[in-house]
Amino acid sequence: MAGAGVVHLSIMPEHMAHVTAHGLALLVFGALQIVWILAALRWWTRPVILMGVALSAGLILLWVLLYAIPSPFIGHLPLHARILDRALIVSKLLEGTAAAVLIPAYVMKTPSAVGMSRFLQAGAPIACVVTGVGALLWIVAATSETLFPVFSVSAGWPTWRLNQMRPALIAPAVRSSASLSGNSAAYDWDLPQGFPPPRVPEDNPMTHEKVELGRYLFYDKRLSGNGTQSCESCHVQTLAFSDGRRTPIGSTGEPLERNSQALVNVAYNATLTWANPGLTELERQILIPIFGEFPIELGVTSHEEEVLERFRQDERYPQMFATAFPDDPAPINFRNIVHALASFVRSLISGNSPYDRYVAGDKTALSESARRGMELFFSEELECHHCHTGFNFTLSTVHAQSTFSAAAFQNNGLYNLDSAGAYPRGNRGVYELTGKPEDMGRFRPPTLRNVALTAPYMHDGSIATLEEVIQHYMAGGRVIEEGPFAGDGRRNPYKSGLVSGFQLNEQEIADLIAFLESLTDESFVTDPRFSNPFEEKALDQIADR
Amino acid sequence: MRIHIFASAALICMLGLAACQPIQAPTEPSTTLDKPQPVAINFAMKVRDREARCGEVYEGLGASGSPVEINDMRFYISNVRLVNDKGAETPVELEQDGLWQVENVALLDFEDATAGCAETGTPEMNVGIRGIVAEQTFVCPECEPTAILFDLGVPFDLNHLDVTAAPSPLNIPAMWWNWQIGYKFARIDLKTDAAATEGAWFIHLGSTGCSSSDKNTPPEKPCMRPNVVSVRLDNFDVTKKVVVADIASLVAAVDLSESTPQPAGCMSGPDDPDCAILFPAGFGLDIATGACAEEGCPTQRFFRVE
Repeated sequence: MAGAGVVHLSIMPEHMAHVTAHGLALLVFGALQIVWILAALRWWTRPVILMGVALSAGLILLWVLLYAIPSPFIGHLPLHARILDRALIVSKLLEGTAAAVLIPAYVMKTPSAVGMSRFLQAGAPIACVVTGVGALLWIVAATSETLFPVFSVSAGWPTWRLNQMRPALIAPAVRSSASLSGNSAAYDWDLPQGFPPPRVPEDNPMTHEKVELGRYLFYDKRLSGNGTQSCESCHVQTLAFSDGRRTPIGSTGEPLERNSQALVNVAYNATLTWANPGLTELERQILIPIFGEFPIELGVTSHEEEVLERFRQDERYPQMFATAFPDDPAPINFRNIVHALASFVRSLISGNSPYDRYVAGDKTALSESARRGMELFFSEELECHHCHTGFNFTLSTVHAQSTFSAAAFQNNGLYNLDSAGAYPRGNRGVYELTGKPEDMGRFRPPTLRNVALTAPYMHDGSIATLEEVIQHYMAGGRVIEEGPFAGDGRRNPYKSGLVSGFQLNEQEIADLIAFLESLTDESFVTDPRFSNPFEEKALDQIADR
Repeated sequence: MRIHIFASAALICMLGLAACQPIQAPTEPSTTLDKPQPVAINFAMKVRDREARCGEVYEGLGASGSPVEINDMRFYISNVRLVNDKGAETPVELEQDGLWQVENVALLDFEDATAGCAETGTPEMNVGIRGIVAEQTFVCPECEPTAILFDLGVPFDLNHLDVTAAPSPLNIPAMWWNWQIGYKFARIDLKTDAAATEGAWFIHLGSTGCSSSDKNTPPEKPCMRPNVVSVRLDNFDVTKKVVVADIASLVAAVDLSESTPQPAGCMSGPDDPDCAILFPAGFGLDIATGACAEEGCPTQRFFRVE
């Protein structure tokens, strides 16, 4: 008990920093325990023993109740210092030991100094067991924290104690609904610093098996009606999974209207594709390139059985599907193909650019020029950051801890065909779906991560270089002098007020480009986990590591 | 003797409880409320006497009598207190709802992401705050509630969080600049007849003069110009009255047909000509110091009681 008193006294200043009253309570409490030891050595009587029991057992009881009774405060606890957590456990173990000694002492009712050694003899084994079990639990808890990160910090559960003990005592449902459910091993996102966990549909939790199957499917041309294209045909890893073309061409030669988007951190996209407020899940988006007929992309429609049969006859796929979807007796079907592709695309996380290393503290990661460009990028003069904000450089971002919708779409003044704001037919942004005038020319702001690799730019690939993109925003829109698309985009009535133009000199333009280039993540575009598994080159890369 | 023992045991249990408290709620205020009562304070966003809505055009605003459409209307308030006629001032302890209110900060959101508000808005709206307050503040038999006090803004210790990791409602990227400057305390995006900026007239209120090594680093010391508006509204009976934020009176002295670009409108820049009139005449702030132009910002014209 003296030990517990000392621990309480030692953590008292930390609590004093929060609220004085609590620190003082710990001071009194710790002092009282030490005084009690002195008193017990002098007067070994039943009332004194009972006070000791109350001190130790009562405290443990209250500590347990703390976890057993739901508290309105628990959701917004600040992170505790680790050392405090440890000290709390140590003090409770010591309290447990003391109580285990004192309870038999009280029960055996022999208030004499001679008897004291007998009580200790009777109590010692119990005390050993209490301390031993407690220490064991503590070690298991501490190790499981590193072995099973799901126990560790997640939204609303700031300390490992809360993660472990509260669900166990009062809310088993909390943990079962977490990512542990349905998986033998939780998926390891390997998220960059500052990236929150992505939002994942409940019916398609991430697994390494699905991601790996999705990777094979992503690179497999057999997933097109005529066997000529794969997802990779328009999403090339070295180009951050864009394709370098103005607009792509489908598997049957049909031209597409919109620029092939980079697949960078799409797990965080609030909405998918260029302009569809209602399309929020990859599982639904992926149906478009596979089955779409207007235009045809992979062209699987009316070749469904043929495509599935190719995978059934393959030597590798039946086993991979069975492993990825163990509960499905006939796993080679389009639902599972889509789920596996979605899992792979979700795994394409990029957050290891020079900019990220700079933010993490490596001040040498950015050149002087890029640093000047960064200040320009985040300035009120340029306004870039209003739409390209946050860790993923887009306002259109959601994650597991998001509490609000974030479907953002803006008109950036590319066209103005009729002076009333019209965009070219078929490419009018959200207007194509809603028909509302104010949705004319509104498109989702894409992430700027790896943007230097994803030229040409804009929803229709109509701007070739980053420098021209900057000039577009400097002018506050685009003027097209002649041709079918002639018009002054600067005067588009639906243009975002944030695209109001600014002035930069040559050096500042170069600085801004240097900053945008610092968002290129070389490890992402060379990561063997994301590479073509059918190419030997990729396999060699894995072997080299 | 036995009573003695029980008394000691009870005392010890109470101490134990006190000792456990810091684990549970280290940031809770230590004030104890006498018979705490739930309280809901209603807000409204108006343009004169009309409800402010996305997609509607309001005529005759500002010194220029400009037509105005609203593209965003959200603001953070903090440190809400109620006062009765005995002069007793009691803080409203906000319910921690995990969505609109955290610590002593609440977000009021009057845009619904329709029409022009779709550019940066959210469909979710919030037109009031909820919390608890000491009973005697407004239901004591012989006293009358007389005033409400609050700050338009986010206190420094919560103003420079990482928007990605911050608790709701401090997790909205559209209401955040960067680590260095922190949050947009108020975001009122207008579309007017200002030709120079294609009609754009933004009002983004936030701290300025925040020093750190760069925009990705939070400052260690409070910003030079906090630009937090302390609001006191008299004749406020929480059960009968509504706090009205009126865009028309906020911009009454401002020429909305003019705006210097970079940026369009006023984004709190101390040398932005668009802020020069809006700050003192609308928010009651001294633009040079970032403090109230007069003690208690009595010249603010954004809020009133109805």
